[in-house]
Amino acid sequence: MEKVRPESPPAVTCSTVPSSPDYIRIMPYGEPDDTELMLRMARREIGALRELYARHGRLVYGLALRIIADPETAEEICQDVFLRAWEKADTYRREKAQVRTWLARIARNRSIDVLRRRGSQDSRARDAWEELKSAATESGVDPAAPVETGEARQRVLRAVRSLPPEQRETLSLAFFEGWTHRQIAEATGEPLGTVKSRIRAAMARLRELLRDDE
Amino acid sequence: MSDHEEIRELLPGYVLDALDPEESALVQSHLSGCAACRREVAAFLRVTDQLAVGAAEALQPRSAPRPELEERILRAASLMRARQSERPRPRWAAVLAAAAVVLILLLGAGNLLQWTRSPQFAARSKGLITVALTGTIDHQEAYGTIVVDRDDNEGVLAVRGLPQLGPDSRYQLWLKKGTEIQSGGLFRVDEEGYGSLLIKVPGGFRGFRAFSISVEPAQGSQSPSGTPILNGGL
Repeated sequence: MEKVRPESPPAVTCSTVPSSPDYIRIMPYGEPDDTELMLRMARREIGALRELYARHGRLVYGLALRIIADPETAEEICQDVFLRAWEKADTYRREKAQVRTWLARIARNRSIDVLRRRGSQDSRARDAWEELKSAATESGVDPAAPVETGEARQRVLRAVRSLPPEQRETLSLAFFEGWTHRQIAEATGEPLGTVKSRIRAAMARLRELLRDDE
Repeated sequence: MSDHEEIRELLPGYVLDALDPEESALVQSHLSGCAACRREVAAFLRVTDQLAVGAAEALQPRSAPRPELEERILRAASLMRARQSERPRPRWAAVLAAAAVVLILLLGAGNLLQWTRSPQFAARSKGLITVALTGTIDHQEAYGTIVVDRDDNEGVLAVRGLPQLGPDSRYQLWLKKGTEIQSGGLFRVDEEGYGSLLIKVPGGFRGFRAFSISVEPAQGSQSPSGTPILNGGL
């Protein structure tokens, strides 16, 4: 039976007024939110796709590049993601997932698929979250992103850093390298049952910590 | 532990796509009949979504794709839109191409060439173009004809005078647009050196100005690996 990854159409939430003191992004009057862009894309307005790419292209590309470590392939994945969004825009409906989240999910799934097909999975970063922590610290804030995403990003990174190191590393291998439980067990020398329980515990803990974001 | 509990313990791995195929199949089968587990999967999906966005946002400022990526995406989307918005039409060009294939099979490439010069063809040739292919210095006896609908993505090729190839080789048609080269398909010839091909080009023929044929491996090539044996152009 073929594995099916759930990739339901994006949910819609209306933009909220930024309230964080970190920085302010001024949304010009009349600028559409992602919901409106998806609706316009469903009406085949190329300008809406251009705007969606302007808002989220670097996010999608950056995630693909981290997983694939090859700029050209990361661009191909980025292209796949946005063309899929274009193709699926007419099936859009309101659910509990933002467009940005949906795009990131597709990007990760596509990247893992490519990684597995190439057989190029390795343990370049046993704990990729540490690398991301450095990246997040160096980069500061991205003025193109809504302020609430900066807060969400920090919250996710804090939640991951609160995990015990062995859970964090195991999760990193599964999430960024696309390794199965069995592959992780073989590579690390840990019992298969230990790997499974670490993944379970990590995900359960993150689900608890990030629950308010649902 | 019940089956349900065993499946429930696999759900985080399922969402991460970290299960063996057999485990994944078990979970999928269970999910179709268990709403509680489907809710669990949705909840864990939200976790992986947040991980994806969080990771992507942390990485974002360090990496940027090349500017031309945006243009590629918009161009591809425009093509998809154009294809979707095509009004249904009698597709007389496709009918004509299909008829040309029949004629090719019955009459051979030489007669196709004559047929394209006929009044009947001229009356229906709006949007159709023909390209004559001539053999290179080592294949001067070979020739061919391509008939395409410039606004469509289907065309017909007929050739004559080419030697038969072994089982590991094929003739491959190439279409050239500036520096872009695209395959038009693979074909073989019979013992009389005659062959034909129904050409399909995603995105249409518009812009392609040069055509060639080369000998390639049986599974085809990404780009010409051999010297062209037939050439032609607009």
